[in-house]
Formats: sequence, structure tokens, C-alpha cells
Amino acid sequence: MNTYLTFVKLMREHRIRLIKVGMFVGLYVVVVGAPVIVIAIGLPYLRARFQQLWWVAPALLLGLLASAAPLIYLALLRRIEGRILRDQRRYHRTLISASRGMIRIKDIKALCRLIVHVLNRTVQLTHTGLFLYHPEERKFFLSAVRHKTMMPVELTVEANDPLIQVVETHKDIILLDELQAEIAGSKGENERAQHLAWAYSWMRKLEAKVIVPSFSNDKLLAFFVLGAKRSGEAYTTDDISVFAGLANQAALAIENAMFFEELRNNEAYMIQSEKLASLGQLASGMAHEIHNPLAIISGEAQLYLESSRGKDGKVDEMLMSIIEECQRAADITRRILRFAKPAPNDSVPVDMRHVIEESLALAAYQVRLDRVQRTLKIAETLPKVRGNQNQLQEVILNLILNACQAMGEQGGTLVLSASSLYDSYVEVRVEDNGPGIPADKIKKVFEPFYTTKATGTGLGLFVSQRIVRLHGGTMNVESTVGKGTCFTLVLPVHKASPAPVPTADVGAKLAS
Amino acid sequence: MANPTMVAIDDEREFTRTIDQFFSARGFTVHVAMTGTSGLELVMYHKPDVVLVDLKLPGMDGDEVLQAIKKDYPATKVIVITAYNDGGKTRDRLLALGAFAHFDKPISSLRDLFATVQKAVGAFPPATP
Repeated sequence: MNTYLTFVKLMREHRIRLIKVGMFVGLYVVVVGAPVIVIAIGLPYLRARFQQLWWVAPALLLGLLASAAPLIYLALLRRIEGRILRDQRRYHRTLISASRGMIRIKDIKALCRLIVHVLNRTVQLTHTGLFLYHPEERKFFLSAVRHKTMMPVELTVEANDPLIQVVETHKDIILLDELQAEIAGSKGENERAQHLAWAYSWMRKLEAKVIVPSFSNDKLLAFFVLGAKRSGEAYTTDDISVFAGLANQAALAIENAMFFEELRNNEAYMIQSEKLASLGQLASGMAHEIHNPLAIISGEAQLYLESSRGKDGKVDEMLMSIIEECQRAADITRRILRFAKPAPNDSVPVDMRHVIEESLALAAYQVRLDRVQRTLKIAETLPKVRGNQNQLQEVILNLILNACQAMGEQGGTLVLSASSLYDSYVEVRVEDNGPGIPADKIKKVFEPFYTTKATGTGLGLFVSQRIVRLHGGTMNVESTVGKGTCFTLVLPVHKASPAPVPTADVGAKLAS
Repeated sequence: MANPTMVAIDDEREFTRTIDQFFSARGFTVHVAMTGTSGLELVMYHKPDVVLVDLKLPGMDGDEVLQAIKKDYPATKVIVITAYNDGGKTRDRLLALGAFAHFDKPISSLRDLFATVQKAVGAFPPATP
């Protein structure tokens, strides 16, 4: 970096020196030239007027100009220097004041857009992009961009990409030209040279001149990709130090916004849990109120059946039906109750076959399943997963209801499958052949309050994904418009004697 | 042998009436109470062989009735009936407190209840009414 920057600095100082010399020469041309011109043009007149003393006037003029010249020179120099540096000072000031305001923005997307906008506009760049780290996908996503032609919005960089390794080892701003010099200098180190070459070609592809990383506690949160200055000028040391300051402020602001986002999500989760808890309370009261009359109806029917059995086959049948239906009604409230009750946080072995069957039975009370062709593909020897049955049932039920609602009135095919994955995980898939989710919507389905249903809360999938993550699992969706949607859960298997550390590790790995 | 005696405690009058009719017809002497307190008085007075008690009662609830009976009349068998099933937790707790058995409302088969009561009083299978 140093060689390149020194060169840039040299170039700029050189330019100022050139201007200085030019001005100096120009001024003294005037100082000497003016009297000479006066002599050349006005010699006959001067001779006629002053005779022997004709040289006095030009000499006075020379003396006057010579003594005024240094003052004029200094004044001009100040003005020209001011003009050269003015543009730069202006945008440096703008960037510094903008970076102070960033910390107040709590919406991460708006923040990214703002930073990129300010940067692009004040420095007058051809294009600017901001890549933000998403820990869940272990990827950097292009979160904001100005002048998209160079950078497609769906551009991502994996966390283990050589580019990221280069940025992380540099710990500083990377300049394309400097990178080139470094590649030339690092012929001996094979892997490093490869990484550098990869980073170089990546930057070239995006026509990027500078990468500005934003670190927080040695963790790369984001990085900016800057194109060239529209003026065609090179980046200067001052630019670089201003970018470094901006990157630091951006890291703070991004962390701040991430914290607020996490807080908001937690709040949404709390609201949903509270709703479930109050529903649980309501349901337990309701179950009591319903079971008592059912007990009376069933009891009296049994009593009557005792006394009249055998007298009239039809009456016997009717009484038996009453008793059975009472049992069924009680069954429904019991299921709802079990589902709605606030779940304890214990982790026990859970049989996903049971969860799937139970969820399917429960779904039948909420949606019409008669036009839905259901297929269960559950492995014969399915290991039990570690978790909370009620919560997992909530997730599966939610997916079944979504699938049925997506397929709508005309129905369709619902495939529920569960299989063992490397003996360490259980994979559960819920597939429908409904209309599918368009690509631009699919990233949003797990966001809180995102819903396409008129009466939806937009919390179902959000809470489901959260539950799965709390179980150390993952939940993903694939969809093709016109063909259908498939949600896939991967849950860790319950080990007979789980070693706490490795299990936590597996969970963390899967969750991120 | 004298008729076995039963005290049934439930605030649902119709339910106790059904129990009364069903068990009276099977040779039991049935006393009915609608609150825990009056139920305990009946237990003190009649010293029944078996007590059927609803878990949720106004005032003193089934839990307390069960514990009071177990304290003063350990030989009396108590069968608890609950309208609210929470997946076995309540059942385990009640059995730990000394309940002889536990039934969910609605009782799917009064005959099953009767069989359990028979077991509780240690009687022979009854003559069909």
C-alpha cells in the first residue's frame, strides 16, 4: 500500500510544484517583459519626452513589478491550492458528518442504503456496493448498491471465499493497484498468491478500485466495494483515511442496527409466545367447561344404555353414537389444549412419526383435507430427535396448514416425509403441489409480520424457524412457481448420553 | 357383607346424579356432596369405602380433599376425576399423593370406572342389576 500511496502523493505534490513553478515563471516574465515591451513600443516617445533619462520610467516599472511580484505570487498560490483541495475537503467533511448521523438509524437496510448513497454521491464514484454479513447463511450479501450495471443485486460472497480471507488478513483498505503489486511480489507463497489473484480478478470483474472493510472486534461485518472516481482522479491518502474512519463508523452503526433488529425479532417472538400462553390458559378453562357437560351427556347416555340395552337396536346404536361422539369432542379439546399450552423448555426424545401423525390429525380440524391427497413417507427406523414435542408439533402443523391453504379449494398432493440423515439428524419434508412462491417473495417468508393471507399474523413461519433453531436444527424452503413448495427441517438426533459440548457445537453449526 | 359405601363429590349435580344412579343400581350406598368441605363432612360421618372426587371444586379443591382423607382415613380409597388433562402430569401428582386411580371426564366407560371401584373396595364382581 505504501509504495502506491507515496506515488499518488508524489503525483499530487508534483502537480502543485509544477503549478508553482509555472506561476513563478509567468510572474517574472511579466516583471521583466512589461518594461521590455514598454521600451520596445514607447522608445521614440520616451526619448522625445525624457531625452537622456528615457530609461527611468521602465526601470521604475521594473522595480515596482519586482517588489509586487512575491506578494502577487503568494496570493495566487493560496487561491490555486485552495481550489485544488476544495473538492476533496468538501466531501471529506460530508462523509465525516454523515458517519456521525449513521448511528441513529435503526433499520439495517435503510442504513446500508444511506451509507452507499452518501459515499457514492459525495466522492462521485462510478459505482458503490455494500456487502453485509448474514451469519445464518454464512454469506456476505450485496445489501445496497448504486449504479447496478456493474454489480447484480443477487451477488453474494461465501464467508470462506478467498476474497474474504484476503480482506481479513489485510485488516485494512485494499486498493486494486496495490493488490497487483503484491501479487507480483508474492510469487514464492503459493496459496497466498492464489488468494490474492482471486481477489484481484474478483475486483476486476466488478470494476472495483477499492475495498473498504468494516470490522467490529476483528469480525468482518461488512465491506464496501468502490469503483473509480468519475473525475478519473486517483485515490489519495486523505481519501483512504476518510474511508477508514467511515468504515469504523459504519461498523458501529451496523452493529447497532443489528442489535435493534434482534430486539425487534425477539419482541415479535415474545408476543407470539404470550399469545400462545394466554390461548393455553383460555383453552384449559374451556376444556374444563366443555368436558363437564360432555361427562354428563356421556354418563347419562351410558346409564340409559345400561337400562335399555337390547330392547331396541336402534336406540342402542344411537346411545352408543352419543357416547362415542362425546369422546371425540373431548379428544379435540385435549389435542388443542396440549398444543396451546405454554411449552416447558425440556428436551426429551421425540418421535417425529408421532409428531407428524398428530399434526395431520390436528390439521383436519382446521382445514378441509378431503381434497388433499396425503402421502406419508416415514422411514421404518427413524431415530428420535432431541426436543419438545409440543413445539415441534406446532411447526409441522403450521407447515401442513400453510401447504393446504396454498393449494386452496381445488386441493392437491401433500407429501410428508421423514428420514434419517447420516444417523445424526432427522430430515422432515413437507411438500405441496400448490402455486409455489415467487423468487422475490421466498426470502421474506421467514420474516416476522410477512403474510400473504388476509387473516394471517405473519408470525407462523417466523416462530417455526425460531423453534427449529432453538432445537439446533435448520429450516429451509424451496419453491417453484406453478409446481409447488417444499419446506425441509433438519433436526439433531437425541443421543442416549449426549455430551454437552459437541451437541451444542452441532446446534450452533446448524443454526448459523 | 354390608353394602359398600361411596361418597361422590362434584359440583356438577347431573354428574353426581348419574354416578349415584349407576352405583346405587350396583349395590352401593352413595352419598353425594357438591363441595369439598361438605364432602369431607360426609366422609367423616359415613366413613365410606371409596370416594370419587372431582379435581376442580369451588372452595376446597380435589387435591386438598384427597390429602385430608389420606391423612385422617388412610384406608379410604380415593378416585380422582378431572376434566382437564395435561398430558399425565396431574395424574402422576395425584397418584403420588395417594389417589387410588384417576379418570378423565367425560368417562368413556362407566363400566371401567365401576371395575376400578370394585378393585378399590376389594369386592367380588357384583350380580348384574
